[in-house]
Amino acid sequence: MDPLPLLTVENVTKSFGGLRALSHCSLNVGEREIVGLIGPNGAGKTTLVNVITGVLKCDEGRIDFKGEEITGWPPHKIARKGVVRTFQIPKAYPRMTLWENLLVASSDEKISDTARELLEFSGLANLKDEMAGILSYGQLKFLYIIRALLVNPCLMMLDEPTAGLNAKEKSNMMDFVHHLNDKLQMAFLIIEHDMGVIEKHCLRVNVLHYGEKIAEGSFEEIRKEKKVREAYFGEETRHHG
Amino acid sequence: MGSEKRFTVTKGSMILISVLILGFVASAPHITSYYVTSLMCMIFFYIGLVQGLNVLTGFTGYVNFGYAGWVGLGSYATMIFLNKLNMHWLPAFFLSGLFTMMVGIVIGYPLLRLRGIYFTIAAFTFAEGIRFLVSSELLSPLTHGGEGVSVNNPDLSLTGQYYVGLAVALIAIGVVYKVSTSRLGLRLLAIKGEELPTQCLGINTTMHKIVAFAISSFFAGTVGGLMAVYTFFITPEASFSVEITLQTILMLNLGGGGTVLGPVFAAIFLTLVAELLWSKFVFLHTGILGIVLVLVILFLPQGIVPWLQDRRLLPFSRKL
Repeated sequence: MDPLPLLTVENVTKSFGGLRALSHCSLNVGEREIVGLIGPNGAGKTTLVNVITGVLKCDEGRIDFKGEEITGWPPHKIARKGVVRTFQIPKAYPRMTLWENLLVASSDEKISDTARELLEFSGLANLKDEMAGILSYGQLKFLYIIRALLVNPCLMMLDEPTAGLNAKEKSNMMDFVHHLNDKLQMAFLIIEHDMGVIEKHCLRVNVLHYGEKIAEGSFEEIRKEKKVREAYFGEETRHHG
Repeated sequence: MGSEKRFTVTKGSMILISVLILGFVASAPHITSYYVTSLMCMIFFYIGLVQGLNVLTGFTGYVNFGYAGWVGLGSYATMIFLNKLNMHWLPAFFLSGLFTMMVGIVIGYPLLRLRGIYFTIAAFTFAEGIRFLVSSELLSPLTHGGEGVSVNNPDLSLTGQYYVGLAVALIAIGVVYKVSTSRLGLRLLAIKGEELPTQCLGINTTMHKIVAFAISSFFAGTVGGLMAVYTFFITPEASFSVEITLQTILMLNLGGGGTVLGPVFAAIFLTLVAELLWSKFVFLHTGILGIVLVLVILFLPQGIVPWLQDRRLLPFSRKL
């Protein structure tokens, strides 16, 4: 049985001057689903996430979340509704401790027990009183996700969560994502360039190319698509003689 | 043993020095000259001003280069309350602060949608616009235009101004302390760190900035009113002078934006230096202050207090 729709994006178009970054893009994410979003550099993946989270306003199209239209809402309102995201390059708030970084996002004066557990899970608990500036790139990515969790989201969009991480860190990161998926029943939309991660963790994958969605399906399905192969490897040319 | 003894002596001397400073500050108008009392009044005014600017610029990183506009508005509002409405000085100062706070909220709403240099230019343009309006014939029945106007003595002697200035400075320090130890302060600092990700955490950054702007404008207006009474006579040129903005920004940058004590030390230090420069190099002192500002930005971009904290010479504490 298909999961109930959580996020529905219909025919979203976004242009920057004469450049059409997204052209009639549609996708959906169901409850507790982990969906992949892939495409070559410049395909419009981050632009789509920016439009969904209200960072950019779309020119056409409609976005619904939990049955309510959220098109054109400001980012803070969309986040409060339950859609959060991370950015490609994680940055902590500089002159704050790790704990204070979390308090920024907390809706009350306390940090939830879940966040404390997740700090333990990610190995950051003993660093909570340290300045966030000392964290490694990988640790910052975990902090980024835990901080976003304090908004109590239903859907988290991760922009290249494993980029810049070594194999062990990648594995930890994806274990973390599955832990959240199981424990908090949270859905994920994951932008990734690492096809191994997408293949292993996403049941459904959307492929963007030059702002258009060219394929959707399981990893096995999309890898057979001619358009997807062309997008990644260029058009097939035959040399005779 | 030795170190314990040294610590006890150090603690004892710290308490003694604190008591001496507090005693001096509390009784200065009665034991020092008119000149020293006047100079200390200016120090209090600048502590109030720099802490006001701290709440907006120090915490959120939005540099209000039109700060003098809000100070000047406070001066003229106080003059109108005293001269035209014959108010008592206490409500006059308070209402001037409220008036500039309201202007801050109304103007801040569109202005704070701009970022970086665009906000700075817009704030400066707004301040110049207000100066122009105050100087214009349109408002001259109220403001006396560019020729300036005497401020009615509200029955507040220099000693009275001293204690009112001290109270405003202490309240401003208290407010900044409260902000810095609250989640509001953390969120304002987060806006300075990276605003877009902060919005994506469900935080309405525009509202937070407007709150900061309102607090900042309140102190600018209240101190502007005090300065109007202190100088007896106000003109658009002097009340809206860019020198007020320049000096306040310099103090904030030197002390360290987003800290409680940095701006206080910087206000004391730079008011004394400015007084010395003004008395020795009357035509060059603004230029010299400008050079000091450039040097501070070049070599102490975070300010003295954060510089000392980074080297663990001062504790980094924000009790939440």
